[in-house]
Amino acid sequence: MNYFNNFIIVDDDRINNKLCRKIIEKIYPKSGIVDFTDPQEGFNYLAHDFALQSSDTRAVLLLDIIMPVMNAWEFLEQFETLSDEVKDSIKIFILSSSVDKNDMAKAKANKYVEYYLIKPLTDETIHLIVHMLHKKLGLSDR
Amino acid sequence: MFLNNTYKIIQKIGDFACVLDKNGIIKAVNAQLSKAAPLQNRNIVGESFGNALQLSNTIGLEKELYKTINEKLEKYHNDYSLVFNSNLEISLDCINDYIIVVIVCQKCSGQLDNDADTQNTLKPLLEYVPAAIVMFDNFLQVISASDNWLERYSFNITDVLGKSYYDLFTDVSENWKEIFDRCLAGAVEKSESDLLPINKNQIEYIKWEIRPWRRLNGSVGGIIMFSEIITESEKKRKALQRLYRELNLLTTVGEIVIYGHDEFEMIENVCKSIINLGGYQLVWFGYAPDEQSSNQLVNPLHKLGMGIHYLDNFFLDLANPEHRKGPTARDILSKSIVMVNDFATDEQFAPWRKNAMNHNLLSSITLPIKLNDGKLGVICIYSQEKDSFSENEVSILSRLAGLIAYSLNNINRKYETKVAEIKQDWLIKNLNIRNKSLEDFTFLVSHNFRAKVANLLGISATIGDNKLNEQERLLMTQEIRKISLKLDEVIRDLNSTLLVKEHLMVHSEDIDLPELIQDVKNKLDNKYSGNNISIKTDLLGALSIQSDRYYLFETIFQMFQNLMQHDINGGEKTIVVKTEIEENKVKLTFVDCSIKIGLKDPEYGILEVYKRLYQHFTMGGIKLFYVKALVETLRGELSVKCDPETGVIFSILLPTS
Repeated sequence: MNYFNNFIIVDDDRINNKLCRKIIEKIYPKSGIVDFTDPQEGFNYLAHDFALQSSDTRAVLLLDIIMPVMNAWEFLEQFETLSDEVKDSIKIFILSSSVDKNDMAKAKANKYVEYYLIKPLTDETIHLIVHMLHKKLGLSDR
Repeated sequence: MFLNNTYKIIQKIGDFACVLDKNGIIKAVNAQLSKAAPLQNRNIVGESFGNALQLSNTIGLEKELYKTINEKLEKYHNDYSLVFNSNLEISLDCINDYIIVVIVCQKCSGQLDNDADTQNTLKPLLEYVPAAIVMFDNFLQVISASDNWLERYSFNITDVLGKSYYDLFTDVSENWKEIFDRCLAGAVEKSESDLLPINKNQIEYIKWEIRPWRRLNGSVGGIIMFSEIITESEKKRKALQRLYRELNLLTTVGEIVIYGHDEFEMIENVCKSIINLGGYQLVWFGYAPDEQSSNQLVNPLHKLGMGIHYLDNFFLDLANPEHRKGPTARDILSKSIVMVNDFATDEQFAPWRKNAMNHNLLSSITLPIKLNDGKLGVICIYSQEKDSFSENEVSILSRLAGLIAYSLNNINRKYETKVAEIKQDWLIKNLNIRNKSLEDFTFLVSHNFRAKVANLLGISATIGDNKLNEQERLLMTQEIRKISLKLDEVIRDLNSTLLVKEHLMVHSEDIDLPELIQDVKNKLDNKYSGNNISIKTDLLGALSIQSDRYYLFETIFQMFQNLMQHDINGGEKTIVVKTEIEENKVKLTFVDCSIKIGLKDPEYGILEVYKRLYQHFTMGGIKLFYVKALVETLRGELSVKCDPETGVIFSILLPTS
């Protein structure tokens, strides 16, 4: 069972978004998946639609770094402004093609970022994400 | 009645005074004359003037007086003064038939007796004192003199006794006359050291003192002159003084050279010390020309002192055989000290003699300043005295030259270290820039490659999934082709960039900028004809440039192509191209008016702009790096600004030639 049954993908690369969706659907067919190529739209979704959902809704957010208009760091700055309830419900994972150590260090230093993942998203990566989150909450993967 | 009046008048006269009739018979005397020593209150009224004063046997006054009275009385009734000799001055005031006689300087026989007593007492004392002492009376007549004084001036005592100083020494200056007068009036005058003539051929340093000697009644009876030849001690004192000055100079120069960090300032301060502490007339410093150089002129770089105008027309050419005989040339050629002790007689100094002596320069020393790098400096010091440079002085000045050399070597070493540090800083700075550029380049390569490779990996992992329908599978295949084409483009851009970076041959030529931009536009029209691209030009700011045509064409072409991406996607685009001159460089500005995004910082590097705007540009960041590489090959700079009002502004700054 996946305690985090919702996935939000924020990446300007629509091919990546499509691939992520396919892999998540394959592993967790009952999950809710939304994706945004415009990070501002993604943030608006968190601030309004997601915030209105029930308090036990949990989501994994896959966030790309390099995006026009608003990059991952600016997105995280805005994320800070959301209510604690929304912030506690969302676990953010950086999903980037970059292997830049500076980006990795920056991600590690951010309190809202759980982990830095390198593209492409694979079945193993999804399992790893869920396992990590369950372990953190003291939950079983099954 | 008249006599009564004249009697009253003479009582008011402070000096000795009396009234005579036309025969010289005393008719009245004043109190001062009555009490005078020779008269001893004797009533002399009715006596003849000469008898009364007992002067007839000594100076023949009576005869002269009578003669004068007889001769002048009838002619003059005005104030009348007679000086019979240097001993006595009598003023006669003739009124009617009477004469008022005022004796201003009296010399009476009783007084002479007193003086003789004094003389007799002092005479043996003076004769044998081991010093030059001479005693004069009020009339500067020698009363007594010591053997020492007589010997100095080659006098015999009998030759000088009773003789006036002015008779013994005929050429007495007004200054000395004034000194004597002041001393006779009671002053004491002295000097520790004066250079005075002994005779025509001898000048000596003399210490002297003149003071009045007084009679028992306190009045000044004359003066005593003490004098001592101190030439030898004075020379030693001056030598010591000079040595002290030189040592002071050496110490000061030592401090200057230790703390000196700037060549100009150090030499300037050394020159100031040489003049102010060393007491020399002129100093100058210069460098010897390189032996291999065609220019063999020696120029004073620093100069200071009273005789500085000697150097106004100074011209020293080591190539000139006459000039090579001079002290500076000889110093440079021999790399050793050269002294000229007397400009007036030194044969080799003849070409500069007149000019030097006109500026009060009589001798010189020229010292070599040997530097570690083989360079030779030279310092020339001039004195207003001949034979000015003693052995001690030469030794001290040699050390001074050594200190200057040490300091110059030190300053040169510091300068070289500083230059090396600057070079190192510059290298580090450039390495950092190159490193940053390389990091940016790596990032772009990574982003362009890695993102696409990640997509390919993701697709390849998904395409085998049985749950995909045919439509999805087809879309995936199409994506693979698009990604492959983009990858191919990236690789080609990368190759172009690397080629430009390696191929640095630039062929400079005059380029007509409007013509070149028109050529670029023509080529673009062929490629993008039919699209909604509007290019506006403002090329009057800079019409031409000297640069490499191929690289410049490629730069402008790629820049346009990059900016036209938006149009390919179907939107409208306005690109403004402008040329202008900025800081003596040609500035080419490309404004993409369609991308109006404001960024936090007004100016961004290419990478930062790429990260924000890469979707807007045709060929990703590597194309931008290609343009950057082209611009750098042309020794230019590429910068980017984002302005929400104007758009994205790319600026290329190129040298005009």
